Amino acid sequence: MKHILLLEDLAQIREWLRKIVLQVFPDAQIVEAARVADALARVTATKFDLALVDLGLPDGTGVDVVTKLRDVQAECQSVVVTIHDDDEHLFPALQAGAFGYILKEQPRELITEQLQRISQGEPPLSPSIARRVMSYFANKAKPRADATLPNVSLTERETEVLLRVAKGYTLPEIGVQLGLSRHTIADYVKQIYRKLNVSSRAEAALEAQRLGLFGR
Amino acid sequence: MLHAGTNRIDLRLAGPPREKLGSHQRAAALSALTIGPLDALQSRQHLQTLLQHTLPQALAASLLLTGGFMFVLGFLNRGESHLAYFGALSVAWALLDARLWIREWPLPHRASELLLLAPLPVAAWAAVQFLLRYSGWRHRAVDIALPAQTLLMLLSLLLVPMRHFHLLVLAWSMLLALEVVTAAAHYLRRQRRERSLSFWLMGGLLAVVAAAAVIELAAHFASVPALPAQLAQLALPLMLVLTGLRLVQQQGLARQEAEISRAQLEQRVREATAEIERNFRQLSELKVEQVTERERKRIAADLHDDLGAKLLTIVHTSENDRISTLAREALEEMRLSVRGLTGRAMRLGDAMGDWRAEVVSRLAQAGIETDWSAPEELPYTLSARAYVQTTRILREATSNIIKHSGASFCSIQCRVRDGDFRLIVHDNGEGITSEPDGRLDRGHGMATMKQRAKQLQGQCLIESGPGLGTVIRLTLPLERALETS
Repeated sequence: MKHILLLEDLAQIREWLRKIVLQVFPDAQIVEAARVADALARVTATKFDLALVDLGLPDGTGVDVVTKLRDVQAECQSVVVTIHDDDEHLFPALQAGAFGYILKEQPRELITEQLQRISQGEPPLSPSIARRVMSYFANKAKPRADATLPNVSLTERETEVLLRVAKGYTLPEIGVQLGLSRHTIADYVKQIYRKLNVSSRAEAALEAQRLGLFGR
Repeated sequence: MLHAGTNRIDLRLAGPPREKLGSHQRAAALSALTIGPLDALQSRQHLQTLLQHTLPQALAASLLLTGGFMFVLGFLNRGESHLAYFGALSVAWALLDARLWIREWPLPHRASELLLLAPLPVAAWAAVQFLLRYSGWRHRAVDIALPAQTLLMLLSLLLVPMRHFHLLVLAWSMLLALEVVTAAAHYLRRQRRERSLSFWLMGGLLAVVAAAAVIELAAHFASVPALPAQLAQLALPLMLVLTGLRLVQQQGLARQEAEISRAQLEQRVREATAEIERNFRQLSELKVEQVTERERKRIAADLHDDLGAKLLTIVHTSENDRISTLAREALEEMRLSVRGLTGRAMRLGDAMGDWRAEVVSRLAQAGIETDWSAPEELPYTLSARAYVQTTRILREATSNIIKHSGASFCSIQCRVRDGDFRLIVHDNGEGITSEPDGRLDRGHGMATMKQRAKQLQGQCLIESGPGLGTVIRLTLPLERALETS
């Protein structure tokens, strides 16, 4: 039985999402929340396997919930459910540790399929997100004054996959081009998400240290 | 006048004895008597007049002038106090030299002697202070001690018995000379450490002065040949005049330097001002940009939150498929509009990546084989508006192929030629049947596609016939597409 957190402020959409989740995971135990504060309280109380998190909420951003989940329940998969399809909105959530995203206005069948894929370890990756990830790691590769950051960098293969996604190739196409199985390509994408999260969090921690939030 | 045999000459010396005088030059004395023809003696007399009267007077006059000038200069400018002291020294010395040619005073003996000697301690005071200040050293104790010494000397000369007058003056002179020598040594040591040219110049001048002083002092005790004594008398004022010239020259140089550095300073102030203005201008431009950007983001967020949420609710709650599809399309449109609103110019290569991902995956889902060909690297950018409009055109074309064409294959070509971006979408479907009026089916959004291309100063041509498939040719001028951003 799966424990699933559903954070969405619009009641009708929440209800609609709940039905989709139940369709994919018939025996799921769903905890619903409409506010960030509400969700944060739930996260401390219950252990979740999956969390569907809306980004724009009345009392804050869902990114905070993703961060909290990554902190206290590392095994829980956070999936962003949003109407923002641009990398500017999605990237912070991915950095915080979200494992993929779903665009809300897509037809039910498509969302169902995407949710299934994500839960099977095949997160989506759009060209604009891929470009953003590439430029993030390219900036990191520049020499820096502080060597305290963990050296998280992409492998050649991971970079190759990102480059092809950025050019608009679909994951199956890339599999064919590189002579790899769809499953392997999905693993690369997962790895890219993980590294983005690890690197971003290390950076955030260092930044916090620099601001004196720790050690006080 | 003389006759053969013994001649007797009566000589009468006028003047007080040496002991009662401040300076031996003024004592009644007689040099070796020389008797000879008038012509021979006259030239000697001329020389003596020149050495003892004309030259000292001329030097004294120039000393008075330069000294007065420099005193005023130094007095007005506190940072140059050494000039004032030098002026005082020059003036005092000029007055002191007056004893050489003013023989008789209509005053009691002691008073006139005192008056004539008064400049001596003042000159020593000024000389010591000049040397110290010139080397950049000043001390409060010295500032007080020197005037006090001057007063003390005059007072002691006022009170001493007349027969010891000369002796006392001699003692004081020795003391004063010693002070000046000490100050000079101090000055030279400083200059030497700084390795300045002044060390040699002033060192030479001071050496001449010292030599003159030694001869002068020696004359008090022993008889010194007349010529060296007279030259020594002249040397001191001459050195003072030379030093004065040197000081004026330095002053002039310093003025010049000050003028130059002032000009440089002004230049730097001007540059700094210009830079501040430039920075301010950039800052305000940046501010405007930031405010605009923030406002755009706010509008975009409002659109997403209000309109987006409502459309989304329609998408997912409407029973009617047509309505939910319309709402979904409206939502996509809204998002594209927001992107056009907030978006920056986009690299053409990135835009083509986005288009490929969308078109290829949609067609693949519909089971249509796709061939996408595009050049690798394109050094062009698209305005946000051009990107959004092209996305719409491509999306519409893809929808048409999926919904209406019945095609099994579609090729898409992207090219840049003659500054134009060209997109050709070619399917192998049934084609679009012409309406009775000869136009292509307007229900497929062809008119909208053409209109959108037109907005970007481009064009969209559609060729189709029954059983021939459809070719859509979109041409956008890249430069003009950039301008509309």
